[in-house]
Amino acid sequence: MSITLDFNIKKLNRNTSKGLHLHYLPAKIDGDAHANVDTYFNNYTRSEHPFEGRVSTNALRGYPLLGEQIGVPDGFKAAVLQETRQSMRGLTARQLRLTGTFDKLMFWNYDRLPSNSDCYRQAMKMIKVSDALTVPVDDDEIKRQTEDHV
Amino acid sequence: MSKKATRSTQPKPDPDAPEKHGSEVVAPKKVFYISENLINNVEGEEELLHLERFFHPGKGRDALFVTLEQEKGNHIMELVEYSEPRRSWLIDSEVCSNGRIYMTTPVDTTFLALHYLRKYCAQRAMSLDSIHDDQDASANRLLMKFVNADHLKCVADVKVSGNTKFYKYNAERTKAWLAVKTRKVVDALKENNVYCGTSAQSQNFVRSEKHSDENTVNETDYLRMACDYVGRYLDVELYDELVRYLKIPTEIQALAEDQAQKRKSEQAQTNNSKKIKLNSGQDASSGLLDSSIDDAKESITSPTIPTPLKERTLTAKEKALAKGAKGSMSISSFFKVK
Repeated sequence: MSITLDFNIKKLNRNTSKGLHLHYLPAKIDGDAHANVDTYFNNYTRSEHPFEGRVSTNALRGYPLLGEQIGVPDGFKAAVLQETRQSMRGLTARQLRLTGTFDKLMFWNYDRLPSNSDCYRQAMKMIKVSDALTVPVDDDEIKRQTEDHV
Repeated sequence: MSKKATRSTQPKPDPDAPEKHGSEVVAPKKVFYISENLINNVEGEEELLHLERFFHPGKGRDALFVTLEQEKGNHIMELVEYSEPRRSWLIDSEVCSNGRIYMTTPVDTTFLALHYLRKYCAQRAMSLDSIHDDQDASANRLLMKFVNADHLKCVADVKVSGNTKFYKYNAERTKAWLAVKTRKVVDALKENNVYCGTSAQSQNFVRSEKHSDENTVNETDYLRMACDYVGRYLDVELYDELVRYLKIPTEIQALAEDQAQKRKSEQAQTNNSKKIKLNSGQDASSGLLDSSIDDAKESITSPTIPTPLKERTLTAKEKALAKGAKGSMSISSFFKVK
């Protein structure tokens, strides 16, 4: 059974002025619920870090976090989708609705400066390679390959 | 006015109290990165994207793909998940435990069709609409609606009869096609500066020009990585065939050879390098850098390769020992409960 992305996908192209505010936390949190992020988290974000101006600091349950604002990778539009009527799952077709869009996020690391070593950045790098795999191969290239290969 | 009254007349929003608007029953949210190419392909306002399951040869089971069906042509993309063991989101003022990012990436449908061509069209030519998989009802839909039939000539012989095209799997052509694909991935890996060496290396480590001349990562490493990457879309047997076709040595073989070469050259150098470290400070720092790289390499290689190495060097001895031990009792036989 297919899942429908039940919204006008073109909407993602229109840059809405009020995007969602996202934090990508280096912790597993069990639970999906409302939280007072502004009071307990955003309030404590500081950017006067001694290393470099771009790095912000905060803490989660006393554990220090180092964060950096990074944009959504080129060629992608980011969206937060939410499933409707989960209790009916299996009975009706599943649907995902659009909650909002964003074009940048706060990427937080525990105890480590955000850098190119982060899995996230390496993964985004690898995503670019997937384009190379879909470039159509023409007959000449295959012919040359078979001739070269002994 | 009592203290209590003051508080009750000026109710402060209690941050700990769950707010009214459905604090508990929040349907899980998911973060998606959707490719702009896909969005730009959508024509009308009513066209919707779907997530569908098709058989993914690399995974050996079905996986989710993003599909777009419309009059001017259908599109399909793979849905890949980015997930780290411990990640979650704060979205505006909500906690989202699902720390994954779902991304749409382009996929060459020839890879998906290849699985069915090998399965059904190895012996005889068949038209795509006549391929039915009893266990997999989505196969027909995939082949008819999303596979780009023009590209199938890269992996199959095409015979045209009237309006119908018949395809017969061509193993040699497929391997050549895969080799070309692999080469393209190698180029992309180099272009994006993806490090493919066998040792771990910090991504922050910027090599000096002089160092990069030494070509620390050799072609084989790139080829192996690219081959693995292409292999993500192939049946296991086909992947093995590709590795043989490209003559890629296994990682263990390559490491063992590397080690053997290094040993020889090291024997001459070890004494010198130690002296350098002790004597001049400047040289010592460069020596340290080198040795730390070597150490890192060795610490990685040591747990993986000892068995093949030992076997290689000890075979002659072992043979002699085995010969001598013929007919004698195994030591464990002395410790059996009687």
